[in-house]
Amino acid sequence: MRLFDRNIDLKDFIFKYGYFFVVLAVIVFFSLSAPHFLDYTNINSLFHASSPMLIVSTGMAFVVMTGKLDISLGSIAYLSTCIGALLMKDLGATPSVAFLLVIIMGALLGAINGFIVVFLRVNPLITTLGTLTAFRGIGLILTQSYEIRMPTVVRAFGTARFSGIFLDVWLAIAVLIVLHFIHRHTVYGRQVTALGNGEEICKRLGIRVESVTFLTFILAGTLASLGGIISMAQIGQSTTFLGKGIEFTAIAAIVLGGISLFGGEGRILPGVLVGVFTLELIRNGLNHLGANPYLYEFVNGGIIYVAMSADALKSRLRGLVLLVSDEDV
Amino acid sequence: METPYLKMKSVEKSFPGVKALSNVNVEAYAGEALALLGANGSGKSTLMNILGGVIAADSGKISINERIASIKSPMDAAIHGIAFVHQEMALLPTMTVMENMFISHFPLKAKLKIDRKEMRNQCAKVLERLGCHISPENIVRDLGTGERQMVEIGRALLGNNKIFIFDEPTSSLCKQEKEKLISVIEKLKKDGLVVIYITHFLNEVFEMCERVSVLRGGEVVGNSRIEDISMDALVRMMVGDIHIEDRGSAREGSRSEVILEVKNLNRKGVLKNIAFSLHKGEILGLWGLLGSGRTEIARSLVGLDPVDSIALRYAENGELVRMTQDMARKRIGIITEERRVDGLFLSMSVKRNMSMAFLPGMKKKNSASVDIALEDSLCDQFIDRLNIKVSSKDQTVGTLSGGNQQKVIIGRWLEVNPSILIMDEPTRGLDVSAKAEIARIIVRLAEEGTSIILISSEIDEMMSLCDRFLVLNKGNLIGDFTYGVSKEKLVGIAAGSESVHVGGNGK
Amino acid sequence: MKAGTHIADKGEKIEGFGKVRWYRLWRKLLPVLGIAATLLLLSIFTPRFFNPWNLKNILVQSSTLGLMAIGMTLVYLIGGMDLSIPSVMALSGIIGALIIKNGGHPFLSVIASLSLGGLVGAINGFSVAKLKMIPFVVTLAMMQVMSGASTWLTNSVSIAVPLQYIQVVLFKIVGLPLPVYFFVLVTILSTWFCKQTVTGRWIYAVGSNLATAKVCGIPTRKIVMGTYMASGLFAGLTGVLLTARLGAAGPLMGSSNVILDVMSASVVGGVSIYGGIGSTLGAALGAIIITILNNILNLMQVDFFPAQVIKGVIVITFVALDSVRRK
Repeated sequence: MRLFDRNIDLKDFIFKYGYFFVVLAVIVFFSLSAPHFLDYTNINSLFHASSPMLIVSTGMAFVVMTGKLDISLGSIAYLSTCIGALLMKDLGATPSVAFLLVIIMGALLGAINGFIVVFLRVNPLITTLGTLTAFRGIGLILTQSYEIRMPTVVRAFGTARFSGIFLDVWLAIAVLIVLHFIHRHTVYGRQVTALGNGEEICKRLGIRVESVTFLTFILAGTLASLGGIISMAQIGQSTTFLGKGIEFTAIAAIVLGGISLFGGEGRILPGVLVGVFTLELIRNGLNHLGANPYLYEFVNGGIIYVAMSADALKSRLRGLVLLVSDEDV
Repeated sequence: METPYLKMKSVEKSFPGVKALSNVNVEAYAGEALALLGANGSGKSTLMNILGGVIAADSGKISINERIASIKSPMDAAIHGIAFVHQEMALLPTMTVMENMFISHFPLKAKLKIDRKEMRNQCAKVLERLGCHISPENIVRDLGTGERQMVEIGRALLGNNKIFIFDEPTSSLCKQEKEKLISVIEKLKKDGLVVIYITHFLNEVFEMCERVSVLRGGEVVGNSRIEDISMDALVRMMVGDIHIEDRGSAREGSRSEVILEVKNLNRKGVLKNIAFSLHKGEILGLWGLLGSGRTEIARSLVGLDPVDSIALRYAENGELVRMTQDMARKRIGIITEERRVDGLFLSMSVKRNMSMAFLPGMKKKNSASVDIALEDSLCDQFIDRLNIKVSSKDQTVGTLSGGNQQKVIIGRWLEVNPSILIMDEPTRGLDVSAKAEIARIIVRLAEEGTSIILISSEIDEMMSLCDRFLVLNKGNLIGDFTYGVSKEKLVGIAAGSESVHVGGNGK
Repeated sequence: MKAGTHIADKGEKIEGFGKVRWYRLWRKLLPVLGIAATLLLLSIFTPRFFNPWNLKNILVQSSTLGLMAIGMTLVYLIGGMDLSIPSVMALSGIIGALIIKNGGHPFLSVIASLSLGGLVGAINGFSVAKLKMIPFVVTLAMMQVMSGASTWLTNSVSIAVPLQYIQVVLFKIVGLPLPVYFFVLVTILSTWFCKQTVTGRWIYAVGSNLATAKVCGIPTRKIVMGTYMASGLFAGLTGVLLTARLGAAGPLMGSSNVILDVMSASVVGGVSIYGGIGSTLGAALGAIIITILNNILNLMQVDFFPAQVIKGVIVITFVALDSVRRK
């Protein structure tokens, strides 16, 4: 039995592994132009800074693979962690109880998104744009825009290490491995990728499209709140801009990691890992070069644009037309 | 005498205004392939949709293996072991062959993890059984049409299905792939399964089927064993009595001057070296089976589909001049095959739909705005002339009946008044009186000087309207006949009976 | 058979016709009902609303929101989406202010602002029409690029514009500054354009069914590019006007609550995000309604964030109703 019937042309190869080369190029560029870039401490702190991002991006990746988008993840992270913070501050809850409730809150908020998209049939872009505002607004109301300091235990978690590597990095890697497994080796995971190929086809194949979509939004929300917890632990307090704009960075990371925004493609590992890592590398590298921090957003937007056009080019050359919901123009 | 494994008895089905099936009786035996023949609208798709659980019959019984089967949904059909291999394959292009096969029933280890090894084994076994050399790990997107079909069939086999319905399976296959499919079907038969084979290709029927049922106008006009019937008799059964509503004497079309010349029309894999001429006032019919390239030719002429090469010349002042895409747009109108997809603006009014192609010509003097009075009067004119039944010009087009919708589209092009009008299946889905009305409109248009390229799958319609016929097969132009050619000849040529492949694995 | 007589044909849906007629009327009446409802609320809760100074303020604020909403509506009508409008608006204003600050002629400043808007619009349009990228993602990326550029250029500090400049731009006629007149003019022109001209009809056609539009010979690519460019231009224009009104240009001009207001204005004004339905007049009225809503919430001393929540819910509700009615 032959594995490949046809010659792998250069095109296919670039499509599949292009993003690796991008990472390589980035690493080479920055290590040459900035001192101390490849230092152990730098790389370590790089991973530390990107652990919330890794987790949130994984959630986003699942949503994107079904062919949809969720831009409320940052607000979900914010609101759920606010509630946790308030529980600890005002109701004297223990960190472990608060932790649990934050995760549950994340799932619930994700469920709200899922409900509106699946059962009210509202365009996911509009839905999550609305919930993005609503959730953050509620969080700001609840906290009166105050910052809430975390108890020592939590802050310690945010900076603890285990054999030299930060605890939260271990956690993030663990999450990635588990979710990669779920994606590749469970029925749900396979059906997520299937959905990205087209809802109509999936219905004909007997896949429960609505359940899978709904579950995916819940998953994304849960992971967002987990990422929020780590972020909050790292900063040491709950700030008003926690998670702000993280969705857009996640989208950039995902596309860099070879996961198509049209849906149906990509892997969590190494995709999300490489994507987030590259993005953080770029940010870190720019920092080392002494670039203006305000440039990050600009660069992020540029990356999304370039990555998206590469994505669209791929689709057109392959003759695939996998569109996100109703956007047809 | 064997008893049939599958029996469909006294099946009746009506749609609003149309009786799709009357008293249809069909039997299929284990280890045999039953060919289901019939023109478009003969009811064979309806019958199979009933068997596949997609729609419900009004009355009638289906029995499988001597037991009555109640099939109310595709899921029921699957439970009864019926696998429907459709033309538009339900495949997930970004996923592997084995994932495609198992997507709705993965084998699990410990209830949670997908057992990949088991999946690969079962998949490999099925592929081997089909004599197919692809690997379970191949990504479907990278496979050719024939191989994709194998994946679909493989999926059907895995479901422990006993009845396999193939709907026009060879229309997009090359010779090798077709031969492979035939050998697969032979294997299915050897395993004692039931095969129902829907096709237009008569030589295939004789190559691999044991029995044949012919449907016409919703009724079964013949059931026979293949060995008991000849090709000619079969064609006659399909085509029926020669009953053409003649256009009468006004068939001068092909004798007038050439108005359009098409040369060198090529599109890789779809059209090969198409060249023809169209005369003024002529009704030129493009005839051929599904997938022969008729619609593709039509769409290429107006630039709706991409082409590798095309040379168009148009008659201007008695001379043929080269025609650009823009010129083509202005002089050639097209009524597309599926009005609900790209023929109508369903949420807009009749008036708006009609004026949409002619707007630049409706501008007020020295202004960029549309002359509404002109729009209104033109619309009224054509509603009258075409006898469109609407309560007002502002009625939403989506609420009209199919026939009236089609007339609105015709009205749209009449407003533009192009010298050439392409009509792709203009009477599809319409009841008899609407069909007749539109046929009359087509004839009148030709009499008034419009040249028409007509595409239709209904032989009677084509025979009664066309001055000339271009016959297509798999993207090749294989015949050019003037009015006077016999119905059997046309059907035969397109269906391949005139060039039966004998020898090799033929019977 | 007389033309125009309605005869029941086999299969013709008579009941369907009534439902659709009612639906279209409802769509047109929506903004009017909205205004009536809000006005009613006002008189009960906040008599301060009817203060002439407040009313004038509302008109002025609606102008900038309205211009952006009209641009957004054009893109909605073809079935697309433009998230970059507020950020383009902000950057345009900033570029304009920077030019003046560095001694450039105000005229040049205005041209620069408009050009930026047009350029971004062209990029968006090209990406969607030719490169076949997803509108949401493209305009999102542009939004980030513009926003990043804004903060970068200004170092997060607003750039003030000179008083004379403000006085010219906000020149008052009959007590109302120029921007209001611009708004009214653009509303009238765009409504005429969409409803009466050939290109306007084509816009609705593209949004209603892209495939059919192509069959009818409509230059769909040009239409798509054109609407995105128009949207960008309007954003640029708004940047100029808003800078003058605020007296300074800064990155906060394009903060995330603006996009929500722009979307709310269009959606409340009866524009469908799926394309082919709605009007710029409706969007203009919607902008006024949203501004009034903001104003009331303000006067009622509702905090900013609850107000955001309310607006988020409103958008979702309107789009949900839209989705329900479409299916």
